[in-house]
Amino acid sequence: MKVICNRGALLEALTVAGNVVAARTPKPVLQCVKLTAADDRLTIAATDLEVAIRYSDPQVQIEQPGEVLLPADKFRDIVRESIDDTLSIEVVNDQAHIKGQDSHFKIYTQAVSDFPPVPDFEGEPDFEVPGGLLKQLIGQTLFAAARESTRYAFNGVLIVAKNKKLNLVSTDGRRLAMAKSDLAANGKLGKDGAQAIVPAKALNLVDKLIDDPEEPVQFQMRENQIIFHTSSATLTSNLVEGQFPPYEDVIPKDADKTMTAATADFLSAIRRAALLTTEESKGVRMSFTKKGLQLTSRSPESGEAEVNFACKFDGADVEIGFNPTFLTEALRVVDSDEISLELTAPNRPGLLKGGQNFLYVIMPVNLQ
Amino acid sequence: MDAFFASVEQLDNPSLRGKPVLVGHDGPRGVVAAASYESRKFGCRSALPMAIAKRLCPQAIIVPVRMHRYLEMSDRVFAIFDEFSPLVEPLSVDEAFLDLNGTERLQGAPEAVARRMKKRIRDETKLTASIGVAPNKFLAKLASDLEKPDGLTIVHAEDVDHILPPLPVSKLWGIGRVTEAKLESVGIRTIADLRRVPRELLERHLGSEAERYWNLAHGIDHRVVTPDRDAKSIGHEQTFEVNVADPDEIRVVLMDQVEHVAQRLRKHGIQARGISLKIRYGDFQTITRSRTLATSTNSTQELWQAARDVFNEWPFQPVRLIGVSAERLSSGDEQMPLFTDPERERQKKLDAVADQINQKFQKRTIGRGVRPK
Repeated sequence: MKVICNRGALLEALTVAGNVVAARTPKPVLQCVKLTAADDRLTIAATDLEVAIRYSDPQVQIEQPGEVLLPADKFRDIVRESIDDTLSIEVVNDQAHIKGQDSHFKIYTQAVSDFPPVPDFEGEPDFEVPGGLLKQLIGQTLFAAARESTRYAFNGVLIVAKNKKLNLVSTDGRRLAMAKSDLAANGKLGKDGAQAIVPAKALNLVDKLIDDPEEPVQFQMRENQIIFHTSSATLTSNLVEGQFPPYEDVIPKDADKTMTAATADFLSAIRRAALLTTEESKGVRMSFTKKGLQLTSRSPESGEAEVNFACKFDGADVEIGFNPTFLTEALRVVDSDEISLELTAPNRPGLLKGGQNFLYVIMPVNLQ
Repeated sequence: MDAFFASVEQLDNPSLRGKPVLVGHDGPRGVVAAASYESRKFGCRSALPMAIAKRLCPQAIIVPVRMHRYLEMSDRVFAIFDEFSPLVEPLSVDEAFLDLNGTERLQGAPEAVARRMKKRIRDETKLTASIGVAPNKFLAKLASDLEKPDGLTIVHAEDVDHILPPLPVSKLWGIGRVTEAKLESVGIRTIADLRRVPRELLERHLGSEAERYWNLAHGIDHRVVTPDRDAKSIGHEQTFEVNVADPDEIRVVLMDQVEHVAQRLRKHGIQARGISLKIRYGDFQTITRSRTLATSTNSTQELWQAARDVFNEWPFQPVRLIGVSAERLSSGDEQMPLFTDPERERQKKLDAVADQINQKFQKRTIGRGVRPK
């Protein structure tokens, strides 16, 4: 195999693939990337057996097709530190020679046959979504997923495609985010549609793969895998096993109190009130009346905070506590200038709505 | 409490009253867990090897340890403590510090309070207690030991200079046999001896602890009474008289400890985020192993699961001591869950009912068992 690569494009490809490469693994082969030179492009493949990626780099000149397995971090470091616009990579026996104008690196390769298969995107997509829209859906849900919950389903984002709708839902058991969108066409989806819990790591990568908001991302949903495809990459992920909790049941439908406010102002008020919360007393007390909203917090060691926030409030007075971080995280991803917060009682969930397509359910804190 | 385990035995079995009683295992490696005052006249005391105690007092009646029963009585005594102060720091199953600061207007002078408390304990449990009233924890503990049994000793700040000097240094908090021997080798036997030694010299013998001991020798102790709800950890441990070679037997004790710890957490509305096990093996090697819990909890079942998992993880050898403590405690704002976990709810109800029953009957009427592995 011999190729001449644009160094910048190659570095980008290796950086994306590097997100998949296993950090600690009993199988050293998983710390490699596989390079395939064929059909006028260089394909870089990586897998940690949960998530696999194929990234194709067209900015290459192929002198001799072939494939090679290289240690991911060493190879990426060489490409990053090199000073040339182009690098040549040539494989001779079990050594790869990476040459710039004044440098020559020899790296020992590993047997390509040891590398697990990395699936390609084959056949028709089930449906497709513009990249920009998918990026927004991911941004509005991924943050609310759990990281290391023992309830595995909490560690992923539920994707539901049905009736020309694509919804993403995530929860960590204390709050729940839901972002909705319309599909241009139902594609190959059947009447029952399809749904899957996708690991946070995979969605995080999909988000990084999208750079053109207009370009569509194609989906294929299988029994225990989901495949995302863009013009430059194919990402395959195993699904999270387990049952997603009955999220529709916890979305409040009987709220009789509603606050409406400008998103940025509400965010600012909460951030200020949260300045005097601590690990012990992490709740912000929110007292809603006709006159508006009073936010207070107290830190036994430092002092107290009070913010009087002018907003519209309909319904009976209510006092409720929330973890301010849960609110600010959601307010940062709202894409409308105005939000509403619907409440029922101090021990019932609140419902934050931003625009037509974003819902956020947040369970209160029992204030001491 | 005076000779607590032995007194409970004499209470439950009238034929033991007025007689020398030793609580503990009557075997070649048995150790005295408690000695009644009748047996102490002959030199018996707790922690003495049973074989020696029997030689000192051949007529003593030896009864086995019934920890469950002592814990029941302990709960009743602690319930009485709670009536007298909001700040009760348990020291062991039968000892506690009570902070009476600020209760004078409500309850009267500390001496009168102590008298009433002794009466309450006697009326309620038929057991006697010895109380020390003093300006700080060290002096209070010292005072409580001065007139046992059934004692009441008041130590005022001005008494310090005549009470402390003649006492042996071992009366100072934290001075055990090793330090005592070290001090004796340089001629320091009494607190008076220690007071005469210049600070620098003391530092050479005692290192960083010198200042603390110097303070104690002058009756100075700044430690505050720390009730469970302010504690950094809440735990229980038990030393066995002999090495216990049956892991199931240890599991039973561990469950009992976890249950007691969990009850104390719930009583004060505290949640624990971590659990720590202390295991001392027969060769006196001691290990401490901790685990972080997924979410804060005070559920007996969840704490037990974590404790059991840690215990099972370590290759079993005969055990001399087992202890468990709940750590990373918080009593702050409680985040409510969005989805109910049916098992968690069930356990919560179970704990609440068990706590209610135990509270109503003022003893450990109901407890959990352990399924043998």
